[in-house]
Amino acid sequence: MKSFQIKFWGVRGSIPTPGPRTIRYGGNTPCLEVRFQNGPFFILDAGSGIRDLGNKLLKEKDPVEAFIFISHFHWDHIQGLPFFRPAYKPGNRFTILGSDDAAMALDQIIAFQMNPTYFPVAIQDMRAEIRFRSLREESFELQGVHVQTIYLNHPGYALGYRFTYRGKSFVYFSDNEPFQDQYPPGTTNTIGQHKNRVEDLFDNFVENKNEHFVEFCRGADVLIHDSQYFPEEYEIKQTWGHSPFTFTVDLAIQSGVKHLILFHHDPDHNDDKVDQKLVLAKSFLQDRGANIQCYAAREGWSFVL
Amino acid sequence: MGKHMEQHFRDEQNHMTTPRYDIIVIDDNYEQANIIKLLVQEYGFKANFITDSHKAFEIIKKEKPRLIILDLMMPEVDGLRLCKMIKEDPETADTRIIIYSGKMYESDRRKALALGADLFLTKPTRSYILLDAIKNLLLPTTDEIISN
Repeated sequence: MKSFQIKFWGVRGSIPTPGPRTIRYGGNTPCLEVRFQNGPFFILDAGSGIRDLGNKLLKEKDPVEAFIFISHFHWDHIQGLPFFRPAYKPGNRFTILGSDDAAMALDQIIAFQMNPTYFPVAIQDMRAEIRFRSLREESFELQGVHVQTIYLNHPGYALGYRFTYRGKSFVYFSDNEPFQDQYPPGTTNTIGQHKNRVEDLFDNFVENKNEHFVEFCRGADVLIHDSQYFPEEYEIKQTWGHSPFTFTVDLAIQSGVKHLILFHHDPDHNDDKVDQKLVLAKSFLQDRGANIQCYAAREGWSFVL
Repeated sequence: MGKHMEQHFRDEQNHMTTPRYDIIVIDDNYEQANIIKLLVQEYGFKANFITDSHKAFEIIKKEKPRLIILDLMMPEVDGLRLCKMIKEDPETADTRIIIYSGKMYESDRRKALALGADLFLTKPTRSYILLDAIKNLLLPTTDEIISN
């Protein structure tokens, strides 16, 4: 390991998809293990993949200490947490970081999924020391790692993260969709017909919000990004909160990253389909003359930088 | 009470009962916020804008505008939290709120309305749509005019 190592424990979006059709890429929902050389230990998201990670950590470390960054609170990103065995062992220490919701704080959101109606074990039964840190768009240092956050375009409060350590950085956008710049369908374009210039000014003003994503990712060594759909699927799944891989490729090119990892595979895509997505993404990059290494995230795979 | 003091008292009263602004725009993008302000001013509404959402609640409590046009994804305090704070405070609960955001999700719209927002518009929209929405929320209806 040079600066950090990212290991994928879950790469599937929406719902776990075990079975022979996903055996190569894996069916667990998002969870990444991040080890920084002589630095802290991070876990990104607590999808079903965190269960196996937890079992491994119990064999490796005593006590287990980690910062667990949650991108957002949809089931596929938190459903593994009640099955994370290190959280039940006294002496272990965890800090869970993520955004509050408008109506609920981070700790309440985590506790709520362990309400007895949904799960027989309460968060109070977790005997490890568990702290919570609410995040918004901000940047801060955490044991030598520079952490930067940005709100993503996804229902609710989804955060993207950029981690920089010893001059190397990677970006994690697990669930993100391009902002649209289209006017409401069925409305009349009246530009140039107004009596007042200011109305033209308003009607012509389209803030390029996707540019914020480009700026945030600029120059990163690695971009791990939602690539759930093929473009033809996205045509009917706009506003579902996920990206066609073509947007992901564009973002990687525009922001000048070195490595692109396609992530959050669609639960309806079998291994061959993910292969196909990767081949197409690579050919798009080649056609555009971009010197970016591209991969499809796969369960059990480690990326070292 | 002297004449000057009387005038001063009346001014104070006026200031207390008549808000300085009909509309305050809260958006972290300066250009967007300014364009909305200019648009509504063109139609006779007294307006101003705030780009620092951290200070927004304090200013709204002081100024008590009749309507707020509110962005969602802002770095300091996001729009939904502001909406909740404004609607939960008895001093500001009557303020009309139009969410005007790049987000286009039905779940966000439902959440905003549940927190008390009056309307959810996705950016970009047409000027006439925003102006119609403002007029509907701020101008009295025919029934209200007749009954008064």
